[in-house]
Amino acid sequence: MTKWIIGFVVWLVLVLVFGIAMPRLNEITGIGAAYVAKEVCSCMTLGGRDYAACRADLPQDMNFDRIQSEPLPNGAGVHAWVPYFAERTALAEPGRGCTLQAESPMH
Amino acid sequence: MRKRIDLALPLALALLAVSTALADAPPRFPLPPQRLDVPYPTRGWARGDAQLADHVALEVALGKLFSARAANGTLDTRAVVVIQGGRLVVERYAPGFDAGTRFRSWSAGKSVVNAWVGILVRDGRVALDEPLDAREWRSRPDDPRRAITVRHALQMTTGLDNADGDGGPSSFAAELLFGNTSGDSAVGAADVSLVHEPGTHWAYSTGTTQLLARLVKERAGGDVREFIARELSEPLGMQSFVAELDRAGTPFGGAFIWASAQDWARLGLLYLRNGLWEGRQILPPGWVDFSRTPATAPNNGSYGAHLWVNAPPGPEQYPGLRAGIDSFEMNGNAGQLVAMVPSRDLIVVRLGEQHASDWAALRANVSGLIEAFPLIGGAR
Repeated sequence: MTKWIIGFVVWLVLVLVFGIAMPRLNEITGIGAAYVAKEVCSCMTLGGRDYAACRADLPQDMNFDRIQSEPLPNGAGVHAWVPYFAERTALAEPGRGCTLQAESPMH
Repeated sequence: MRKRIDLALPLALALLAVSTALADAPPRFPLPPQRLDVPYPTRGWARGDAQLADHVALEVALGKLFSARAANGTLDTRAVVVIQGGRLVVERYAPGFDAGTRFRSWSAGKSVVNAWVGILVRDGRVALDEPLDAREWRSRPDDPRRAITVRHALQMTTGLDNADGDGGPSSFAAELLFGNTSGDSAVGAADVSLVHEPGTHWAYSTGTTQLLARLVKERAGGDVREFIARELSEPLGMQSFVAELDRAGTPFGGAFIWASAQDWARLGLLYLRNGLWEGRQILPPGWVDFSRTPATAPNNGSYGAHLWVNAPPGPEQYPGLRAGIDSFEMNGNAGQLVAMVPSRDLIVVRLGEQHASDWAALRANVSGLIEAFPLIGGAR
């Protein structure tokens, strides 16, 4: 009986974590990755600054240091990601600044 | 000749009607005209020495503005430009920034949307009291959101449940700018319920600005970027001006406008000169006074029509500049500020970040800077 109760509790915790917390975490990390991709891309493309300077200008009180990013070749944009959770890309386009691309599944 | 009069009369009556409809509240200090001996800065700013009431106060204020540093050593304030009497009298940049650097608007871009809408009102393509009529609300004739007007949207009193929130990752604004709805920001902004009767409650909303930006796109006639260039940035000589677009092609006026400090000052001069530029009426008569008059919603104190006014703030509004400064302002996150001060014929542009400084310190320093300049004749 005790084993069944423990099993049920573990199952419940897993359901709560993967059913409620994970989607929310995915959403929040997605917004964070999008923020980094978009802001760094625009800062480089329109602000005319280099990648390191733009990255350093992200707000320092919002844990952006946990979001990884890299500039795409030839100033094409910026890719940002939180491992296992989310990734977003902003592409620079002449005349319209940097545009966040539609979300794609993690790969 | 007869034909010209035939055309001129309706146009004059239309402009008078627009002016009368807009000027429903007394303006604060009158907007000073451009001096005849000072050219508009379309091809470059006339420069001059600052006429100061207090030399020390100016240097103290500038020193304070350019002293707040982030942990990584970069200065918070990256640019300060001051225009007095139409002349550029102060221009300072942090290392690594100069007159060619574009700066991000954040919410100061909302005031650019005010200009776009004003131009469409001038041309009779938008009426202030017409329904905002977002396409998402058209399927039901009795949809209460159809009572929302362009005026409500400009004054942030739509009653829609799309207020920005705290700016954190879970906020409505973050979702709109960086979340699933960022590809078509107006759809995300419109697809919300009405929680207050339109006109009765003020709530700051980037989403509402995006609804206006989509209206601009729809009424501009052709490519919205061409409209913006033809009607605003080119006449003013704003060569650095860029409005970013979302994937649906709606200008991201709520947050993502870029321009140099000098170009932000050009936009400020357009407002300080009552919408006139080199004899051309860019904004309709009465538009600036309407825009700098606080909306009448009970919880609003200092918000006009996509411009802030230095008046006692409402319960959810930040304190403004020092009392007694008759400014109206474009304001954005991280201390983006374009302050127009009619009583001193002054424009102060401050751009940068706020890694180490807060709003209270920034506003105190900008207030000190403004007060270093004298009132123009007759101002009290």
